[in-house]
Amino acid sequence: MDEPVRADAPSEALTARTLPFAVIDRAEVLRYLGYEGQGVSRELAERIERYVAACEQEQRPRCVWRVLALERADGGSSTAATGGRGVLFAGGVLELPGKAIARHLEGADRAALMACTLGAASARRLQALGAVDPLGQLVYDAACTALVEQAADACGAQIEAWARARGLRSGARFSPGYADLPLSVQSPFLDILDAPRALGLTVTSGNLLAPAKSVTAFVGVYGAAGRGAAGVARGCAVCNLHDSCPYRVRGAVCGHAHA
Amino acid sequence: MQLKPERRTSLLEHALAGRAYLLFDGAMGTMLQKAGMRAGELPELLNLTHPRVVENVHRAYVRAGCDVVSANTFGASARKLAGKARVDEVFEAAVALARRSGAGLVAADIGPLGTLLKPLGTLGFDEAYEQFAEQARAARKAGADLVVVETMTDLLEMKAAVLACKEHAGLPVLATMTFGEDGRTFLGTSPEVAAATLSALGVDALGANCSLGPRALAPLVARMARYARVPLMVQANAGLPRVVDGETVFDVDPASYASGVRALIDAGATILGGCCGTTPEHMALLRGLLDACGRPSPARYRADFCICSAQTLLSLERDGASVATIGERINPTGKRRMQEALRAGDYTHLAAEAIRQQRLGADALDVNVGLPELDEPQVLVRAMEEIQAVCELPLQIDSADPHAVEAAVRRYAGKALVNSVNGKQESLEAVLPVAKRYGCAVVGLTLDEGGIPATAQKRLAIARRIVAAAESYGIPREDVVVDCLAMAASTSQEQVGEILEAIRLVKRELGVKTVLGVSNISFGLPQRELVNAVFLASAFGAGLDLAIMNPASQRMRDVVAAQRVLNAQDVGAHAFIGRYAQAADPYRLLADHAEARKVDGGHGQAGPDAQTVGGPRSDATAPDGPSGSAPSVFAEASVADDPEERVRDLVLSGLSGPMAAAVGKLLEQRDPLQAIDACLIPALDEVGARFERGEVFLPQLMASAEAAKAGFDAIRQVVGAGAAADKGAVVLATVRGDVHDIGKNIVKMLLENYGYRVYDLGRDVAPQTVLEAVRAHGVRLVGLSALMTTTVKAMQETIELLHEREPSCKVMVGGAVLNPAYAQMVGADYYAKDAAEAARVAAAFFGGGA
Repeated sequence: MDEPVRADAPSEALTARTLPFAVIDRAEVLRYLGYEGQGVSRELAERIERYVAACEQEQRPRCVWRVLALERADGGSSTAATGGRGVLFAGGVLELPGKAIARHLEGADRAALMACTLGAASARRLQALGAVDPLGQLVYDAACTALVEQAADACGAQIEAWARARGLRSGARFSPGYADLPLSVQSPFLDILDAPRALGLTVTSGNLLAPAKSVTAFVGVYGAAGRGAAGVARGCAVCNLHDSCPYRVRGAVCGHAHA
Repeated sequence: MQLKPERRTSLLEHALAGRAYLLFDGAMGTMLQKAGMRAGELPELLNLTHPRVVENVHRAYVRAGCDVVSANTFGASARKLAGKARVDEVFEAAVALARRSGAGLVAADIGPLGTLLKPLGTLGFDEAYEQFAEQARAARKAGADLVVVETMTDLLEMKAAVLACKEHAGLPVLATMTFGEDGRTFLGTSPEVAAATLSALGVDALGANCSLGPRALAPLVARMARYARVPLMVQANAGLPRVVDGETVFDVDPASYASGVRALIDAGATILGGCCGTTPEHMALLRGLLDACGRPSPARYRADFCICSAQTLLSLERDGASVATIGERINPTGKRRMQEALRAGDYTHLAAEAIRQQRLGADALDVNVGLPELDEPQVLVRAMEEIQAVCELPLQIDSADPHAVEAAVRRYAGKALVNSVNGKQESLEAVLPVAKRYGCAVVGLTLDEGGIPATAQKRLAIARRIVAAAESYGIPREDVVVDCLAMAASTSQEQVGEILEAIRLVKRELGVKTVLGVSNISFGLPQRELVNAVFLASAFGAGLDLAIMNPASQRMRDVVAAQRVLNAQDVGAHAFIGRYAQAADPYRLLADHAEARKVDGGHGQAGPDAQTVGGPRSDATAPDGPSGSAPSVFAEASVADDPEERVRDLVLSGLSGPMAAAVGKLLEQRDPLQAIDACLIPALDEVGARFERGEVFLPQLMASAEAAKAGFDAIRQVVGAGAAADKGAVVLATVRGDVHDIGKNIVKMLLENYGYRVYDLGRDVAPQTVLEAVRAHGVRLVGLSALMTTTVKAMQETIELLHEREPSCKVMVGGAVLNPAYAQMVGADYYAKDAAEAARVAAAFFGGGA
């Protein structure tokens, strides 16, 4: 890598990095639960808070990420948009079909591959709640979702810091399953990160992440003049719930659609 | 220099007997990456495409003085090779390359399959076993000297691999797991659990590899030593990787690695090598270190009794006085609800019972599903799997059918306790080989062809025979616990003393732990719990170690808590003081209560119910708007006097606590059916309508369902289970490949409230299983859920199968990615966008057509 690097520059997370304690965003949890300002009994409000607080105490998200060069299908480099074959990494070990990811990474010559997970403990806890307390399972699940999203943001912030220390900028997150980027890229994606060994994160035969409370994403890395924008790729167009979204039916948007 | 075959064998034999150190090689992947392999590539394919590169890595390790090189087969499973090469050709080539490098010993290397097993993933135990069996056969055919199974984080996957190797490779099996900084694997297995399970399973060496450097692994290895009956093996990383100038480097150099390995040797490791980041330079220094070490010090195995799940170890020191309890509630004998659940395939009920007993402090759980009409092997396996998915306690697998025991303990994650073997020759021959093969401890009942002997001495004689027979099968005596069999004091009063004496004798003469089902003692007597509690205390006094009992009995728990003070298990009596310092003495309470009744003539008035609130305010506004970080709490309204209003209010506001009392009052005025049909059901309907209008949100709907359930339960308490009309039966399942079952659980809750019989098949359910349940229970409405786009296909397959084979059966579907059009496309008869809608669909279905 040829750009100047500060001596104290942050490094890539090649092995699992435990993310610092984070207060779960209660408003986000309530939004996942479909809350729209209804009056709630004190008992239920306290119960929801207990589950969220328990999740906050019990779950410790971990992440790995590394930065790889993008390659063009025709053997050149430094250009993400490659027409027919989409985007390539690592000599074709990972090939990203579809137009959306090519557009998303346009102008980037590298991208970070990141994976965050709450791990098996979250899955076991949710399953146990399912057997005795469906309401608890619902709320704890929403708290886990909020937490892993926050973890993905924190991971994105590490990538941003890594980029800035090198005079670069990083872009928004884009996950397998968004728009026309198929879930089938999950498996080679995780292999490149060695995620089964590093995080205990795997895919099922249906290409779903297991444990489920996990996020994988691409983050473009751009030169100083590039159009980096932190956060997550947003908008209903990239969402795979596009056709069934309960918010859209009501003419509303969910938390993810906010810019 | 290549060792002659006999030298090789003799070095391996010595090492596996703990008499010699053995040096494995270091990293393969790190070396291949240095040679130009890219991240994410399959290293095993290089055996075929770049054999020289692989062979050169082996040669470098042989030159560094390694005794064993691991063939480059870590990921060579059919699943990971994914058709790019055959498993046997990869093993053939890899072992040949290792052999050609001049290695003294060649290990076939088997790593994880890279996908999670059930219940967290979707891969079944038997499928995992088949994958490993193919590798084990390939290893033997390729001529490997031994197999190393490594980098495992799931104890059950490890067990599948070890069994496959033992059953198909016929070679020594060395097994290592990967632990994180918290001292556990990703799936929660501790070093003690790994050592106990793998020792019992009969591996030839066990230990740890990968993830951490040698210094960080040393304390974990020390923890394994106490439970390891075989030599300890460690292949540590060279610290943590970093990227420097675009290259991945590791931060522990060879010299500090070697000094870290010194700590591993001190902790008891005798088989050493390296993992990620280690190189021939690292191994060359280890060679010098081991050569200077001489003969290993004796093993530190302690021969304690222990059993475990994949997460929790229950261990009783060999000469210690600690006691433990085994919950007895998962057993259909005399429990109608449990019988119904087993017949209906409702394993959630068993799982919930397991969690309840765990919360009540049980240390292990007995699992018995014996009902004459059930396929016991199949049901026992399923029950065990469902319980292990949610409960971390070790299990006692309880069945009179050795086939059922075998099916269950084979797939059990951890070291199970088999209940039971007895002194009959037939029983010894059927049960002990199973316990040995699958690494279990076993309960020995002191009865034989002559029945239960009347004297302590004769019970001891049977116990002695059982222990000797176990040892002849290779089961050490610390893995045998003897049950001296309690009999009813009402019919065999003179026997009680003999039982207690037998416990003393068995412990003293045989040095084994004892177990006892305590409650048999009180059959036929009034105040059974009192008798049980006194007998339990006596048995503890005689030396009983494990009590099989009902953990829901406060009186029994009191005895156990007090005993743990008296035997110094509860150090400083901290737990006892914490639990009992503020507790009222129940006898004192009773006396006070009697006193109070005398004063007010038995008409004690309950105080105002502090929990009472009214229905939700329709004009409620959140203090900081709908996006605020806390829901807005409505003001507590006045209490309705009319019992009907009161019950209705409680459902609408989702309050379960006061429901039983309110229903009690209601039943003074209304008969049970009226209470349900004119009060509880309309209130639920109203909540559903409010949910539809967005006036309540999902957790409120569920809290209301809980409150209604508390109401139904209270009615059932009064008039028995027959009170609520059976409105029809529904099968619910989350489809194959999908583990997201929250929506299905909510639907279940609501449907049960409305009086439907729900057969909940769980998650990741195959189409055929749904069909079988529909046929077995004559069900005409099925609800299927799927959360992910990718699993909607499985939903379609299930619907097609049902429509083809059971055309009268209708299917409703729901799930985040579905909409009415999509539901129609997959062939569903009904679409329910949420749980309230599902209840309406069921009402229309059974109301209109039934």
